[in-house]
Amino acid sequence: MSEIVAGIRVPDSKLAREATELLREHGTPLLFAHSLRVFLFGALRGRHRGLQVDHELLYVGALFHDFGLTLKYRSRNHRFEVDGANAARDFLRANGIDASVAGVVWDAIALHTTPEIPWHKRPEIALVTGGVEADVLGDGLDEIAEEDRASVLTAYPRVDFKRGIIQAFADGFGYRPETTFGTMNTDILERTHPGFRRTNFCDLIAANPLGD
Amino acid sequence: MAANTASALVIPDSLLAKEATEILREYSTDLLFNHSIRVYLFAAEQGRQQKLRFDAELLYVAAAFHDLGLTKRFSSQNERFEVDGANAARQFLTAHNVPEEQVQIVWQAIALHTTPGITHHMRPEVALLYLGVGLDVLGKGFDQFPSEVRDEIVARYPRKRFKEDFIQAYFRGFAHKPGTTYGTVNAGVIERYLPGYKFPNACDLIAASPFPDSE
Repeated sequence: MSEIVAGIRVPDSKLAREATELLREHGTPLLFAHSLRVFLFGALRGRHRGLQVDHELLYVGALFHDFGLTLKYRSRNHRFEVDGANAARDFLRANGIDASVAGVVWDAIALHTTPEIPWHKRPEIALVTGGVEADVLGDGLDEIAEEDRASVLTAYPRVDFKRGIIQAFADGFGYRPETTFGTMNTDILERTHPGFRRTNFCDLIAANPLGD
Repeated sequence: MAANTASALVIPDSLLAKEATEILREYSTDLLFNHSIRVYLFAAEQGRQQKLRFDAELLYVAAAFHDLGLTKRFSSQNERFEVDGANAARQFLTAHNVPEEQVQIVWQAIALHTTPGITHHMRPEVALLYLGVGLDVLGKGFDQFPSEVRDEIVARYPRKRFKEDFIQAYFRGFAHKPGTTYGTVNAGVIERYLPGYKFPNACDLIAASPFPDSE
């Protein structure tokens, strides 16, 4: 029997259930609840905007979006977003999903911290970011009715979330600080890793071996 | 070697490519014109070296339009300049009846040409535009790039006072919308050239979210 939260049916196909199991196994309780909220907030914002959304794809995108922070899926030298995107693509391909469909989920996860760009792409791509921005930053809450928000939080509470998500980021990419260049993830390292200094783009231009 | 360098300077000459060149010449400066052509030539050469199959015409249009979002003609009030350039290219290609799938490739290449760590996983045209920009602006891949080809490209499309003037042109292209650079490499330019402008820190945004933690 499938779960319905705030009028949104949580996907429970075989594919969706396997994604849920992987997240439960390799994520933390904090990332589990966060990822489910990302799906629900994304779906609710999609409903508010009247978008045609493939909820199963949105679900896989939302559930895998932070896999790159986990011990199991993180790499040494990719951005954490790319690790999650690769994990989702491998999962979908192994389940016989078409490469072009898997590519949509790859984009959704890889771009979920890149400002503005996802909003110009397919609804599933836009709404993974839309769900993340709502849950992490509180953006777009006006697109989610008060009682829907409450239903989501009852099902998947934000337990010690503000502190916990920053810690999860710090642990998830603090050991590969160079992969955060040119992203908002540098903000996290600046606060959590004393001694971390962000590279300035202007200095890279000045250091270009290709002279004038 | 001679044949290699000769092919390195070839620019697509279809009607579409020629019109893209005209738009680039009309709305940009000599600095951005030469930069954009070098970006194409650097990108295409790297594509050949890596034996990638890519559509030279699409790559060329992407290179020609990639910085047009910095110009008065194509700059918006509130979108990232990369998105402005991508939208301009989309409009141009759609008007020329280019199929949507190819329009998407060019849109994506331009929109992501300043986003680190993503494009090398994408289509060759998207990956190559990023590499062409990276070589001309930052010197990425300098050591692997054949020096005689590089010299020939730079001789034909010179980098006159490029470093200083490029940063200036770049800054002026988004100085009126500094907030659009947050979370991108361009924030570094605003930080240097718009003293007093203060970016948020994501940790503060998370702390200040109107969304409270559950009890």
